[in-house]
Amino acid sequence: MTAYTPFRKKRTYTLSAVIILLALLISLSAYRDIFGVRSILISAIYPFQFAVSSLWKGAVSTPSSILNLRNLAKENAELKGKLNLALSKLALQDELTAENERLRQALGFKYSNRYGFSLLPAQVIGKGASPWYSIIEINRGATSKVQVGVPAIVKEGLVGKVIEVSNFSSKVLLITDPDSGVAAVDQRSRDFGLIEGHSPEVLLMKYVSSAGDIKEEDKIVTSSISSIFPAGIPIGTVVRATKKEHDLFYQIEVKPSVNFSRLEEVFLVL
Amino acid sequence: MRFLKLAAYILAVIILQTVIFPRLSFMGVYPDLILVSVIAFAVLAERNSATLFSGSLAFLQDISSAGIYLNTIVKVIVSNVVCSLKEEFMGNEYSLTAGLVAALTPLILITQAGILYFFFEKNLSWSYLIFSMAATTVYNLLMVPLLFPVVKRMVSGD
Repeated sequence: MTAYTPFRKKRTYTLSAVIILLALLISLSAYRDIFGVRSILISAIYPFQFAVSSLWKGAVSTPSSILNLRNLAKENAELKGKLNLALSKLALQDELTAENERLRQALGFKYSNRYGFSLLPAQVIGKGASPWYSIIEINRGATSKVQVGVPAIVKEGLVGKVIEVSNFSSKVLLITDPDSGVAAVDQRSRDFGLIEGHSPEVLLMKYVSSAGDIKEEDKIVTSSISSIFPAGIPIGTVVRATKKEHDLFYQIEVKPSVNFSRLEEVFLVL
Repeated sequence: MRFLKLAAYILAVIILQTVIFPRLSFMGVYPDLILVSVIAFAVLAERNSATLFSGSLAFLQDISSAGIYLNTIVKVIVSNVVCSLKEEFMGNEYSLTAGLVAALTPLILITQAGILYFFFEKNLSWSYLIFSMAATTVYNLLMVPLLFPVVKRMVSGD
């Protein structure tokens, strides 16, 4: 028995060392997908995540739906009215967009299909399991023609961009992640900057020249210089903008226009 | 049968961690069920099983996230440290699990943050990190009474 114990200990440490070494090698290599194994495992977990997510949404929304049943007819009528109004405005906007493009061409601007994207709705089924990345998982993947880099938005504004695609699901890096960077512009003063994540409720707008003009309550939107995000998508509102006498740049805090803790659906810009 | 139970537990923890708990988060912070499970399992099981369990669970955690396989590395180390510590511990297993969760949660978070910041140039918000260290530790401690009996039943084969 005494001769057996050291042998067992040695074997155990070997197992740990092998796992750690493999994880380290994969992390540092260009094969983090482990030759497709990662994608297969994500696809294997996906049905369970989707089922539990749907059950959760059903369980949470059913009681309130029953309570709101009486208001549904009234709400339905109101929504139909709003829809008709929105459709009329949309028709007018289509006309204005077409006119805008005609005028741009007439003025010699290179034709750019600025509004020629389509929106793909996607459900949020989960969040990244590691606290180090602000990631959501959505139920659209390669089968829905989603690609890495595709922006995700909601009606309130910008959500993030797709960073990993598997067959039936994708991961979206939120703009609140400190590694996320979005070219942005102040809607009023047109000062450019870079939006970076700080915490779930605060974004930082960096590299705005102190010669610029940024005020609290200014709206920040995506910039036309971005090669990933369409221009003009709301990002947030300036809550604090300070500059010291000899600083080159403003220090700006922005409150995101999207409530990331309540995200249930997003639209992918294809 | 035990293998199936373990597989079901791992899947359930991953689903809870990725689907349910994010919806109950407070300022973006929610418990790390995987860390609590790894510590409880290492306290209750023998070293080999604990290493495999922690490696599998943390690997799936990394798969469900992005970037490098840091959780796999850290949690296998944690599992071995806990296995070594329990040999020197004289109290009951539940107290040891709770004590280790309280001590290791902030330590692991700050270590991981340091590795990501210094070696992988990950941008981090240090003020938010300090808040999340405190909040996650409290959350994890609240999870111990819920997870410990389940892990104990699994390890004992009931």
